[in-house]
Amino acid sequence: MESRSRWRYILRSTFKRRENWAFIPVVIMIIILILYSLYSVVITSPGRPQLSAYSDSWDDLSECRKGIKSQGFKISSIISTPSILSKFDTAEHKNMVYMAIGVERAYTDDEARDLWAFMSHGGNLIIADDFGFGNSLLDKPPNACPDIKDINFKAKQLFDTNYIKNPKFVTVRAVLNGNAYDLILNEPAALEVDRQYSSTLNIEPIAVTSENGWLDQDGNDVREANEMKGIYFVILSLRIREYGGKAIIISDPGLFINDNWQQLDNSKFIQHLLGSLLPDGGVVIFDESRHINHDTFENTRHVVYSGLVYFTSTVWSILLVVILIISFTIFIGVRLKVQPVWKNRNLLRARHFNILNYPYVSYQDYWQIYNTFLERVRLGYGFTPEEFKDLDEKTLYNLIDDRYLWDFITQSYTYYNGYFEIIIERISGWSPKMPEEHEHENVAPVAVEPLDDNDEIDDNNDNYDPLYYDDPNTGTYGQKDHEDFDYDPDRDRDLRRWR
Amino acid sequence: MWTRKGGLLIFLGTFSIVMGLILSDFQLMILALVIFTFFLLVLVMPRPDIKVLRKTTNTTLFENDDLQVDLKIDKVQQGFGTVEIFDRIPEYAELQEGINHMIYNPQESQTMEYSLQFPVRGYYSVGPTFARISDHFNIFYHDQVVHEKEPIAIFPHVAGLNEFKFTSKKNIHYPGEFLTPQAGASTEFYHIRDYIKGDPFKKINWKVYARKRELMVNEYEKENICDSLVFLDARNNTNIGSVVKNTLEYNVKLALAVSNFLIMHRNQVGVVVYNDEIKVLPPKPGIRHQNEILRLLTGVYAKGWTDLNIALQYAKPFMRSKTTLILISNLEYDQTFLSSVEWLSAFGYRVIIISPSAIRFELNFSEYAGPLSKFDLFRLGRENFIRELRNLGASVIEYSPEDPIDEILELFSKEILR
Repeated sequence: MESRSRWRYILRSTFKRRENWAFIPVVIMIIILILYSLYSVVITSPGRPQLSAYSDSWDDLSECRKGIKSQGFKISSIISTPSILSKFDTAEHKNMVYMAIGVERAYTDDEARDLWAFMSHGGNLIIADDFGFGNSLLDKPPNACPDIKDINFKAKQLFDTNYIKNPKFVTVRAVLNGNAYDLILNEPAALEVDRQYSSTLNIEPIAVTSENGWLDQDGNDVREANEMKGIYFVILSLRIREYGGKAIIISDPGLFINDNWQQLDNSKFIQHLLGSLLPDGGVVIFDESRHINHDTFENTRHVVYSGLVYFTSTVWSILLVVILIISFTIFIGVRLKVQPVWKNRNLLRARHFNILNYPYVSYQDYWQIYNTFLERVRLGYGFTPEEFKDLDEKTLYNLIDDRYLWDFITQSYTYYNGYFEIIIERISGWSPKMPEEHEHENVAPVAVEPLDDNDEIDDNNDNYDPLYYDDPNTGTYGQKDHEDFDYDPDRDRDLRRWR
Repeated sequence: MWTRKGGLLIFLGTFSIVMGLILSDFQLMILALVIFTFFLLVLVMPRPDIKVLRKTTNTTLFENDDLQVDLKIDKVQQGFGTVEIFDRIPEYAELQEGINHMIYNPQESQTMEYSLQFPVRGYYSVGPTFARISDHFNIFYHDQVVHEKEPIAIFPHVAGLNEFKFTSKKNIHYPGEFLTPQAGASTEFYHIRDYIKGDPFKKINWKVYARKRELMVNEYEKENICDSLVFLDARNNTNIGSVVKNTLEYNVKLALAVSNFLIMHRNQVGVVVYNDEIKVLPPKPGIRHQNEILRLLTGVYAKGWTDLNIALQYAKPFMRSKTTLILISNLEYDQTFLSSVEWLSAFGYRVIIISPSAIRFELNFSEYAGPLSKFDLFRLGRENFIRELRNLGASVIEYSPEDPIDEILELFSKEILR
């Protein structure tokens, strides 16, 4: 009781934290994988592994593989699913032979569809099976030829009076392209053809038993009265109309095993068969995925690879995988955020500026300086805006009382560096002229002489600079004094600026 | 959450599985199995659980006062892992003593102590308190709030205004009274002086005349009852300067000092704050109203661009004909300011403007030492604007960041008396 509550607490505290939910699908997937692998090993195929092209036991196919390779063919293998054939370029299919020697794992609908499609593009199939799931392919015929359904592996042991050493090692004679081959089989089954004629399917027997062949229906190795003697098909060649490839159906994978490879004409027949299927050379593909590996690891690998092929076979499944990967990445990304570092703040943050980002004036500030100065003049003398606007030019000149500033507001120049700084300095120092103050202090007004209507200005110098002089006689250059200027009422003025 | 270490390990595990399958390598598969088993074990390990109790010395303080915070941490459930405690403190708070972060030992109860100082007024909160509970291997961690946050109000300092001579040019008769040592026409006796030709006979103190044989007249205190409305500009442009020394903080302190003084002298004071919204406290007398003003000004932040004209329209119902308006503003970025003051002057309101030089604040803060031509240009524009306001009859008091609050208020009082 105590341990139950303990586990309940552990589970509750584990799944209370949402970040741990990410493990739920991972754990479920791992459990499914392990269970499936164990199921494959323990339940479905209690026995030792066989018929592998890469193992060297007497009932494996390594000799066959080596023999084919020595013939000049390329060897390849499938460990995921035959659907992977659809990934190849269809133009290459006619140079390929798919070999399933011993079908211990049934074909799915998709796999059968892809195999028939492979054949339609010119690919060749060799399906050798006895008591396995070979019918799972023949029972799923292509739309172009439903008659294939009438060919079946008869899962009963075949006996014949022709045998070597043991009645189970049946010998048959195969005829291929006019050549005869004696073949030894190992506990073969038979092929059953229910159809005499088909408009879409061309069936050509390659090897049959003698007239004394019989099928052991009850499995007691003894021929009963109801077990009829006759000729049974062992190897058939199928050709579907309009299909480029050929399918060779063999009722015994024992034809290919290491122990029989050098027996009679087995190797010659197989090499001749492949030579006839691939006259220009090509690739022979062993389907290892049809074998139940009695190895959990290998089975897991098969499941994972099959899943990979399946989920990359169609656009929708690829889309699904992409969506799942993106979702999982987002989920992980959200949950796996960088661990924030807690800091103890004891520094005050500075507030932002919003007035000045650039402390210098430039020609772009001309109008601001201009308006500021005129506003200063107006306020200094206490004019209203209307009164100030109505002032005539000479009055304004007398009010401003500064030739530099007067030139600044009335004339346009190519302004040199530092000009505006000087102007602002002068505006800062500018104050309105107060006659009564001057009278009181008995000081002469600072202003230049008031203008008369008859004043004339003679200054046509294009290099005129209001603030600086350049004396060619003395060779000096510097800032002009106030008295150096002559007033020019007509020169380059644009009085509309201040009106 | 997963830590980086956890992420790295799970990547390693997944990578080992994939590579093990591709290379048919049992050792890699075993490595992955070990990693995932380790993960699962860490996952199901019970974590410790805690509870926290926080105590603070006070929830209402003035600027620069110390706040003592004590956190008592007790275990609720013992488990495998480590616990970090972190008490969040406000951005503008300074740690004086102690530290707001500790590693908790789940074996015993512990106390975390620290003290804070708030240099800036405002409404803050201490907390929430976070606990980061992680396993011993730091593969997973989990942040949880173990104590909620606690509100803290930091009031601005109220500057003393003992010498502040504030008068109204127009007498208003209100229940409240405003006593100033000036001769006037109330019933309170102020002093006695020699008779000057033209004094009314009824003011002659006949008893003194009988005693001294000289004509003397009584004088009474002048009653200056004042109904004032303080407009505080708290728009975005007032956020100039440092956190402690910026125009808004100065303006808030000045608004508080002026309104506090007026209320202490039994006048009615209203406050209008305009930033992204307009908050109005109608003119009222009394200590309670003073506290309301204090609370309002504590929560003023620089935001928004509402202009003075809108604020005036909003506060118009509270503006009597003789109300004195005190406008505290930077005089920037408000196209309606001049016309509003013109309108107020035209309707006979007395307008007093207190304005900080934002350029000086910025310059003071930035410690910029280069050419200042643009600063000068802004300064000239500001001078023009202030002169224009003065021409409209408003009293304008300028100040800069170097000026202490007391000196600014003294300038203010001088301006009023001028």
